[in-house]
Amino acid sequence: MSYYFAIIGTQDNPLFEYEFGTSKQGGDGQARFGEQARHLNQFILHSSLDIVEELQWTTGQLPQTEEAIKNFFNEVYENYVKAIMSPFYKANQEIKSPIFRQKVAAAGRKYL
Amino acid sequence: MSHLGPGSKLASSKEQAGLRYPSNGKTIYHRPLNRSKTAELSQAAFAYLFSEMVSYAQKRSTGIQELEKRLNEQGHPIGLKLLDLLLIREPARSQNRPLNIIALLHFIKINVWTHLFGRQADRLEKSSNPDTPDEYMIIDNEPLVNAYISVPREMNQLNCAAYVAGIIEGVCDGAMFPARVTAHTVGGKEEGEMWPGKTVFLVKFQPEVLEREALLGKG
Repeated sequence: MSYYFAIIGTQDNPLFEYEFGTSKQGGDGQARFGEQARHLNQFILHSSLDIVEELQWTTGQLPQTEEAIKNFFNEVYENYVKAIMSPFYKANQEIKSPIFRQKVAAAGRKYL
Repeated sequence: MSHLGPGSKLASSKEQAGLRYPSNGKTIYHRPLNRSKTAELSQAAFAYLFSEMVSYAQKRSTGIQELEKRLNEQGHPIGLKLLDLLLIREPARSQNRPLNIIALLHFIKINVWTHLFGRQADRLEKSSNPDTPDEYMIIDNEPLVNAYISVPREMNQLNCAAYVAGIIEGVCDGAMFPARVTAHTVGGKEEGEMWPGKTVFLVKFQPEVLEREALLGKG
C-alpha cells in the first residue's frame, strides 16, 4: 500500500508533503502512485479535511480511526509541535527540516 | 586537514541542507516536550528582557495605540504555539481542543496562566451589556509583566500587559475562535487601593464565533 501524507496550513497551503509505502508484510517503504493518482491524492486530501473540519466541532472523536494510523498521527503531531516550538518558525510556514522528514519517515516505517 | 573532501557523503548532505547541526548532535526534535513542566525562570531576567521589549516597541511607535499594537504582535505567536504545547502536555484523555467559548476561556484562565505566571487568573466575566454578547473579560489583579513597569502620568492610557493580551489572542486564534484582545487598567488611583494594577483583558470574539456557537448549541 502507498501513502500520501501532508500537513496543510490554515490558508489551505501545504506545509509538508511526504509519500511513502508500507513497510509491513515485506513492503519496501516505497510509494507507488501513478502520475494521475498523485494529482488525485490532493483532491482526496482536501475533501477529507473538509469532513474533519465539520466533525471537529462535534464530539472531538474521529470515527473509527485505525489504531496504526492513529499512532502514526500522534507521533507526527508530537514532532510537529516540536517543530513549531522553534522561535524562528512562523505559523503557516513550510516545514523544511530534514530531521522532521526523517522523523515522519521513521513513524511511517514503525506503524504503517 | 579538517575540511572533508567532496567525496564525503555526510558533508555533502549537510551542505545541501544548508544547516548547521549542534555539536552534541541534539536538535529540537531530540528534546522531550514535557521536560520543563515545573521549571521556573528568573523573574529578574524576564523583567529585564521585557523592559527592553517595551522600549524597542516604544522607539518605533508614534502613539500609545501603536505601542500596544506592537506589544500585542510580539505576544501573538507565543499564544499560537502555547496552545499546542499545553494541550500535548495534558493527559491523553483531556487533550481535546476547546470546542466552545467557556471551555476556551477556562483553558486560558487555568492552563495558560498557570504555565506563564504560576497561578490562575483571578476572575472570568461575561459582559453584562446586552449589546455586546461577544465580549468576555479575564481579570488579573496584579499582572506579573507589569511588576517593574512604571507608566508616566501623560501615558496613563498605556498598559504593557497588551503583550499578554497578544498571547491570549494567539491562543484564541489558534483554537479557531478569532478574537481581538486588549488590556485595560481598571485599578483605582486612591490611597489604600488593594489592586492598583488590576487589569482587565477584554476578549471580543468575531461574529462568526458566536454564530457557530449558537448553531452548535442547537444541534
